[in-house]
Amino acid sequence: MEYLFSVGIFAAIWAIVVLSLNVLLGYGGQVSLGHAALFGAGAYTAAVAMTRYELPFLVAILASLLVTAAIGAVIGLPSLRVKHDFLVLVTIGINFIFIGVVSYTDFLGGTLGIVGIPRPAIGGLVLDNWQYLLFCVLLLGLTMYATSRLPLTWGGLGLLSIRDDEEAAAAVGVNPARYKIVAFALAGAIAGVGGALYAPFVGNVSPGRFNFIESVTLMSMLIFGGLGTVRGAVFGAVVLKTLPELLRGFSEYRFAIYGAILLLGILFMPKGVMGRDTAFGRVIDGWIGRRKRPTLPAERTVEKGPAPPVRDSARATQHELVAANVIVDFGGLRALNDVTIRVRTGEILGLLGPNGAGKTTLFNAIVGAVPITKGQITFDGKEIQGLPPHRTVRRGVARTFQVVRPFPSMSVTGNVTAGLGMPIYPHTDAFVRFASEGSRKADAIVAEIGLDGQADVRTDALPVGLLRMLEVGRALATGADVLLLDEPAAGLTHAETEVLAAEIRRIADSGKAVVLVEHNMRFALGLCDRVVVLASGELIAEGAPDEVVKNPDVIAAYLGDEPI
Amino acid sequence: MIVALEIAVNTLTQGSVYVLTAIGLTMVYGLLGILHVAHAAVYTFGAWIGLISWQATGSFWLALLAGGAASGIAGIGIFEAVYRHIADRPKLVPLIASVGILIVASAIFEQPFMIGTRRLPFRPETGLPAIASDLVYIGPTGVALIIVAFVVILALFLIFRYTRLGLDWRALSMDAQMANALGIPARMSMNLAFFVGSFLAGLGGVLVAAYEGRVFAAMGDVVSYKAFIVVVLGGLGNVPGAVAAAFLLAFIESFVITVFGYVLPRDAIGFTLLIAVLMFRPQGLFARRA
Repeated sequence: MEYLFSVGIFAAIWAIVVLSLNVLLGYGGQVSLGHAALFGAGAYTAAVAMTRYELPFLVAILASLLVTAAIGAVIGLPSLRVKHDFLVLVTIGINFIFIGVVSYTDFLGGTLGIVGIPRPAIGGLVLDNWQYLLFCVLLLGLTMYATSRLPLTWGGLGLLSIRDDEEAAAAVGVNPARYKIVAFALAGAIAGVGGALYAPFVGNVSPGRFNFIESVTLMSMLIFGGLGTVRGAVFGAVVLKTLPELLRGFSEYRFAIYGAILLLGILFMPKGVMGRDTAFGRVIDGWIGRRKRPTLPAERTVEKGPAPPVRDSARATQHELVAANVIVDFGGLRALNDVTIRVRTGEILGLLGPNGAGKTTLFNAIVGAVPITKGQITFDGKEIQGLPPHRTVRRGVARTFQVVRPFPSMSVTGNVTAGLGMPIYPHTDAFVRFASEGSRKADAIVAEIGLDGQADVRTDALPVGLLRMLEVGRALATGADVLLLDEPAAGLTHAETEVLAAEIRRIADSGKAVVLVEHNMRFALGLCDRVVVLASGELIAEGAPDEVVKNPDVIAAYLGDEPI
Repeated sequence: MIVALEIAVNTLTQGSVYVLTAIGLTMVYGLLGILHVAHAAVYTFGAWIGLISWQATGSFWLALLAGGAASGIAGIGIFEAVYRHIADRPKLVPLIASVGILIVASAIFEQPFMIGTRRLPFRPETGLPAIASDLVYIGPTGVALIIVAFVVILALFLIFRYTRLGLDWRALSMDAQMANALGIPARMSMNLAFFVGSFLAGLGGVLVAAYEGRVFAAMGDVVSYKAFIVVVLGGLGNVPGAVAAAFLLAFIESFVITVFGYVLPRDAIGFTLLIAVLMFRPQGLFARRA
């Protein structure tokens, strides 16, 4: 019986640690194959707290949580510079460095580790295995609750958005750097709690237990159970931790089993046993859903009363975006040479020109996605050049992308909500208020772009025409006063184009300034108040649409000046 | 003077090990974009085959060839059975699969019918002379290691520079689709690349095992992580860069350990260097352009 209790305790601890990996990888999209280092950091913090400083168990848990969160934030720093494969290598490296540092630090007991950690006790009562199992399961439950609520908060939505598409996240005002660090710190905090539960139960810690193989084991538990879901993380950890313990005869094949699960799982069942969109997962969704389906603030249905005024044309203040004498160089290539455009509230400015003219580059320069060599970009007289994209959008200049970039794992409403702007530490009351206000706004925007029929559909299931509208809506949701739309009509049918044109006109009339990059001449000329034509990085014409099309330079740029 | 010589000898031997293991990794990354973690298993497999071949024939050079060939075939097997089918899936998928292969293989190596958990002695005669003077000593196996590494470097240089195959590899690593469109036989070239890269890993496995006088199941682990550091320092997919980085890493490790003593384990030095390079020069130390 005692043995079963201790198996249960290990399962609960590992489930907590795998949940922390799920926050990092499943929500934040940051791959770590060095997660055992965070687990170990938590265990060592608790061990040091309880032996060297003789702190009580509960204080040690708190200390582990804080210290490991801080370590997580520091470990997360490389993720700001490196991505994907490189980040994996960095995290593997961090695992080795952790072991190296611990092994060579006398204070941490060197290679032998720290022994004689007192049994966990609460208020003088030393917990027996049964009580400790209850305690661990309680903390696991708390962690499950917290991490399952996380995607429903604005901060969680920010994590999902950087996982889905960093650039698109920045375009709606989410600072990718900040959210990555938050993901690592949160993962650290949770893994730290797991470590703090582990060390006093086992009574000793040593560096070898938190090695790369342990990191791989944690990863295989998460992949096996179902990446990105709380139930998957817990299921994977509990099954893979208990099975080898219970089937003693197989214990020598334990790593072969882990490896095989990892290999076969990722090849044939990449969503895991209980992941999203799996048969098992749907059954469980069904059980929970009957009783209480958690809803994204964005998905919360509200009574369709009078839509709140998303925009207020009467009181719309006048705004002006000016990009003056902008020069952008890519290495030796001058992509933009001394280009000046200005656009005011209520105006639709068309940005035309053949492929390679520098239109998208101008957008990138305005929002700060590419650095400008020279020139000045001002919004309402204030300089905005040099600001990163996520700050530019908060100042009031939002952009869409030439190739649509929705957040594929979110619903239509979720995408729009992500644009609404997200305080990262929601105070409960303020959060609830903001959430309902936010969801009303989101619903209004979704209705306005004509997607209310698809509000709860995940965007990876939508055709490009609707996604174009969605991107406009998402940009609108940021509350920006200037919208930079990059070929919004590309890939649209004729009918869709007309709907889009009407919508863009409405947006402009309601008090926004719109800049439009477009290849569809009929669409652009019919819609724009004024057009600017770029060719080879130079501004070659500017004026009313019907004048500009007669301009011989423009005709030459499009058709060549040789007679055809 | 003695210190300098000691560093030079360590750099030469350790650098040769890194060259033999890292080239396969960097070629695989260049061609497929996969971090081939399972390369470590290929390396250990080569060493084991080398050991049994030596036990059977008593010839070191035959064992070396057998180990290389066995590893080469194992490499093709991994490509054909796993990587070929998942190269275009999200990057996490082939990586996790590769880790899975490594773990399964390591667990199999530890079974008694293969290497087991023991350290099997492997002390072959290479027939080469030792370099011995008052100041330095490199044993016959160390000499073999260095010679083979330099022959490999020269051979690779010739292949990449002067053969059709080298051109195909370079084209495939730049743009596989375009290379296919131009009639380059992608699958054949990939198979050859896996064979060559894994063959070298096998040579490395046999040579290191002979140099250290033993074969054990986990011998690939450290080397593979090290090889990754080399590959990144050299610039992922950059073969000449990997060769240079192999000796650079070996030099830095030997230098730090010889001059400052064991401030950190050898592995941690390499990984600290790796992270520093990734942070400040993610394209590697030897990339031609930023």
